[in-house]
Amino acid sequence: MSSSWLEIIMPVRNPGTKLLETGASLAAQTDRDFGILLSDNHSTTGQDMMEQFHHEMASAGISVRQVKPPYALGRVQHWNWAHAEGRAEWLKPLFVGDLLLPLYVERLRQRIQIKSGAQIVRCDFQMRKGDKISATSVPFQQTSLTPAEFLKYYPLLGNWIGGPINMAYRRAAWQAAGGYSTQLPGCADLRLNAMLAMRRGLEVIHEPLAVFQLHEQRFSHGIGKRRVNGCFELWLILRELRTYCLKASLPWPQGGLGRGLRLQMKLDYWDPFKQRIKKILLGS
Amino acid sequence: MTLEIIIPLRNPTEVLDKSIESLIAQTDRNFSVLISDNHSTKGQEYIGRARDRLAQSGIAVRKIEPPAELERVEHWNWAHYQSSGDWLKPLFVGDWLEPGYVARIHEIVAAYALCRFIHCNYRLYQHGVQKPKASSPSRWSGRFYTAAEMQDVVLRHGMQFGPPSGVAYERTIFLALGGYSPVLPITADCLLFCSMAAQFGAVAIPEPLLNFNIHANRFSTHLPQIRRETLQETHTFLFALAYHAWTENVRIPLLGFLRLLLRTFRSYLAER
Repeated sequence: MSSSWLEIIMPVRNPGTKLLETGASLAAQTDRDFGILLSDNHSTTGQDMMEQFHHEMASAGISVRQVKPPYALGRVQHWNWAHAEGRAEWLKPLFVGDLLLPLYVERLRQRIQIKSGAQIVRCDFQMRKGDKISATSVPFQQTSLTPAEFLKYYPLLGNWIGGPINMAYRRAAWQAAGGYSTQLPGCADLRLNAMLAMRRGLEVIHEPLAVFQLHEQRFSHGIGKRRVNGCFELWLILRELRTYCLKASLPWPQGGLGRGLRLQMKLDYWDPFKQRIKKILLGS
Repeated sequence: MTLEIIIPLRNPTEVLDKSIESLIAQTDRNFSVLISDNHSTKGQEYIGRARDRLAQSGIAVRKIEPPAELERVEHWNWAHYQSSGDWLKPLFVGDWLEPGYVARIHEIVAAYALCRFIHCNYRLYQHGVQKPKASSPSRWSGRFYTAAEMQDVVLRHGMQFGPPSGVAYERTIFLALGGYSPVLPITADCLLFCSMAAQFGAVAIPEPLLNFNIHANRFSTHLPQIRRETLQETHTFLFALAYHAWTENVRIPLLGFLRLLLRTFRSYLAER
């Protein structure tokens, strides 16, 4: 593979110190044969952070290309635009504050070398919220899923696919899929990942290789107070996928929409409600 | 401003000649053409002829092919991503443009600094029907309509922008929206064009400068057989548009939107 086989796509706007943490995780990769595309969506602050980021990556021997859209774009619009600027055969989105564990690039390369037809690769990841760390993994043992096998586990077993943090995409597959959906700001990543896996299958690395940090600057932080409804977005996504599957003769699981939605509602409403009750009872 | 006309095709027939003729006949030749062939197994002679005729007429033309065969909508996206113009214009095999089309696009882009999406009226030629039908003139032509104004239009009236061959858009907004949705193979263009208008505004050309040709080999010819799927997809994309408006804190014309949903349902029942 050439030195440009992988490009890490980093869309940023007004980055804080978290950008440097992300940079340090890239500098610590055991395989540094990749490039970084830093896309700045017309930041008004954080230029010093970006300069320092460039400096640190240069010291680690990692090339960084900085780009800027012609005018300020919306959050998801900017992700799409940044991905479209990618030139490498493989693209890996990485958001400010998220980390790649040192073996990420090495393991991804190994998998792509073994499975030359791979189009999207998922790895396990950790989720950090303050001091709390939780691990996410997939509810099956296989390392490769065909579209039909993917539909055996999704959506019946809930959202185990994850977001951009644990995904890498072949550029041609990403482009053909039409990017992240700007209409669904809360679940745009889930829609893209599910759609791609359903069309092209999925490679799975059963090893936590990335860290998702729920820091303060993040969209997902305090998402409950934003005008976003995860359940409604999921309903639209599952409806789309189901219609498509039925038309394309793919084996959409019976009751998939209802079950997927129930699991999401449990996460979004029932679990927080139980926690609140628990807090009130313990408090009293 | 550079304009690239994108022609995604697979197994083209002689109707491609008509599209190419219309490009050669443009009064303003300031554009290039990108022909993307999705691994055709027949019709190569038409592709070769199209390429030669454009080149002989002094129009820059590139022919590309995706790394592997793609689905129809996926191929549209892939072809757009290979383009290099500031503005992109899809043109499907069999459709043809009136000679003043490109000149009009340049005129509008020069006149409205914020314009990123242009739609024009069209004449519809249906397979087996002799007389063409002109689309009704747009309610909102004559000036640049802002994103907020168009948001209201799409939530009240739904798809207003005609077929893909009738629109042109800035490359940046295509990239920002990601492209056509492959899981909505019937209404992928509706969702994309409504989103472009609602998120970036629009200008409409009242004159019919496009001829939309539903010829025998066209996907749209089969729409009467897949009415139920069309209705399902239409409701999905309309809900997605309304939801997006809600997330952006835009006031949704609730009554108008409900009327729109009912209209789509009623027309489904009437056609059944």
